[in-house]
Amino acid sequence: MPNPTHSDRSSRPEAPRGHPTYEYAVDSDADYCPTCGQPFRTDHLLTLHRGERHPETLDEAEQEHYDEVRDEEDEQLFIFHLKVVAAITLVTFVFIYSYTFVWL
Amino acid sequence: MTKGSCSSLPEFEGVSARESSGQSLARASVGIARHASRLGLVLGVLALFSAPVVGHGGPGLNSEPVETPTWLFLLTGGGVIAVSFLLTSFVTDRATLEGYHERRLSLPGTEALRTWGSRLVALVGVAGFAAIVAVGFLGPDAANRNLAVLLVWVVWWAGFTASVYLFGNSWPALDPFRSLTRLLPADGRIDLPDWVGTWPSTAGLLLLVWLEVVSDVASDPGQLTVIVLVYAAATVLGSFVVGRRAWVQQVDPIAHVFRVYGRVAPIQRTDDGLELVVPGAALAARKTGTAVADGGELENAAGDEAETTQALAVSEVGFIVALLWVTSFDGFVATATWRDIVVPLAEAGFPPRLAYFGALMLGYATFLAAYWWASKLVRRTGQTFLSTPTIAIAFAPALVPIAAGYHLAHYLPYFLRYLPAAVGATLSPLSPGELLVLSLPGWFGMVGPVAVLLGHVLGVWVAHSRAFELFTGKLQPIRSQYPFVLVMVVYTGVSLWLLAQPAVEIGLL
Repeated sequence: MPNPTHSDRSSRPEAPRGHPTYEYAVDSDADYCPTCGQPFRTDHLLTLHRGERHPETLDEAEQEHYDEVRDEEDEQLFIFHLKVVAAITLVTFVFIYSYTFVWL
Repeated sequence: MTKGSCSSLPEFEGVSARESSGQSLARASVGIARHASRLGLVLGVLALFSAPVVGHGGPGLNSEPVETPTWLFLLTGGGVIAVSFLLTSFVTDRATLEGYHERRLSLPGTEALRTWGSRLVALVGVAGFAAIVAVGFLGPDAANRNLAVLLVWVVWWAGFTASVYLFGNSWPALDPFRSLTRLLPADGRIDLPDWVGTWPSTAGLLLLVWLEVVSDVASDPGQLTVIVLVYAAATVLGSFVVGRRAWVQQVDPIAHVFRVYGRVAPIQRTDDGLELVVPGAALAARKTGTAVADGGELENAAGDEAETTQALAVSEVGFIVALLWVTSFDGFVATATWRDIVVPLAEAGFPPRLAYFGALMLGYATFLAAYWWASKLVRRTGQTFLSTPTIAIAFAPALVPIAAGYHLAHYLPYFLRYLPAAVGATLSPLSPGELLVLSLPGWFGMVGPVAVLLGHVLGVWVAHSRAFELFTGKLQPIRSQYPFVLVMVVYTGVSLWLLAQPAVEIGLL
């Protein structure tokens, strides 16, 4: 019986030790990574994956596209972090108010 | 007003298992910040945010212990978890995350320590086992004076278990049951099939907890000794039938509990001795140390490392969820809520032992379903095609620190209170004189919530690291965590609520 941890897809994402090989349940249109065959829901995620795990397989144009996507992600992350700070501030306010006025 | 609770632990006569506790989570936050290292950033910021509240209830301004209404106490707990998740979302650099968990310090001279230490410790284990059996039958009947009860419940189940997740898993050496089986041949008569996984140990764990709750094993030395002997006999017989290794790896619930808890600890075993890792690293890391010599990897009959099949990994998830559930169940069956369920049932003619068993299994099924549902939801929020079992398997290790935190919350005060009694009984087992019980200061009530929260925060951190292994980019791993954070916030609330309930005597059994 073939050992699934030595698949012919050489750069399959490596599962942590003691973890069986990652399994996928594809229930809609998927974009597949040409190197390791992992399925992705969006092209955005596929690009990020290829840039991270298989950088040597990207040509010029793909490398540029990856850089663009990464910049886009960094921007989105920044906005996300702004929301996080707002959420933390709100939570803190709620607690300060509760401890100060409601409790005491 | 909130009070500490000690669930179904042995109720020693004349000593109240309850303690009044000043629940100032604000002060707790400052305590957390003091003891964190890398998590110091996360928790230090938390402490900053709580500073104004500390000011209000701090020393000099208010000389009485500060007590929080329950709803605020629970809300704060949930809030701490949510905020710790939000703060970990600032750590997105893969190299940082991997580097953090892969930092290891190999401890010199530990190979000899392991060899000789394990022989010494094994002797201690066997001696302890003999003492328990002897004193259980021959010693005094009162639980709080009998060495067998004190050794098993205070020293071993409370104290030793805490040492396993705080320092390292020494059970493979200490285990007297394993020492007993050393005379048996290594291979058993039958080979357990793959699909069995570690489910037998899960069943064993549920059975042991049910037994502890419905019988007097926690307070009657005679019953305790009988159970211990039955367990020893089962170990010998089982090891003979399925083989020593398969018994320890797949069937023995106790060894499995310690193996799982041991992964939280900073000291891990390697091929040549011991190494120091960051707490939780053995849970989160891609490559955990090297061979976990006595129990991390399954071996088939030829001694080769068997591949980890999905069946085995799913059974491991089942065990971890069971471990989490039984710590909660232990607390739940001593609450007034449970009393209000079980007493009417018993009065209607329903056998109480069956009611406890039903609650145990129903609760377990609920926990498992909730975890599986959260894993399924990750496919949506994390925009991934990874199968639900894969996700469940990948994130289950993050649940272990939560169980450890709850265990510490529950058992540390209990352990400290009865440790002097245990020492006294050791010195004079058959006719102990006056045994001391430590009386803990009021602020000690804070230890419980802090331990629960620390466990959850470590769980959030481990899940965060795992997410970065599984997913790509920076936003996908963060978004994938939403279902788990939701479940954790709810579970924190439940755990803190359980901790705050006064212990209730339900005299049905």
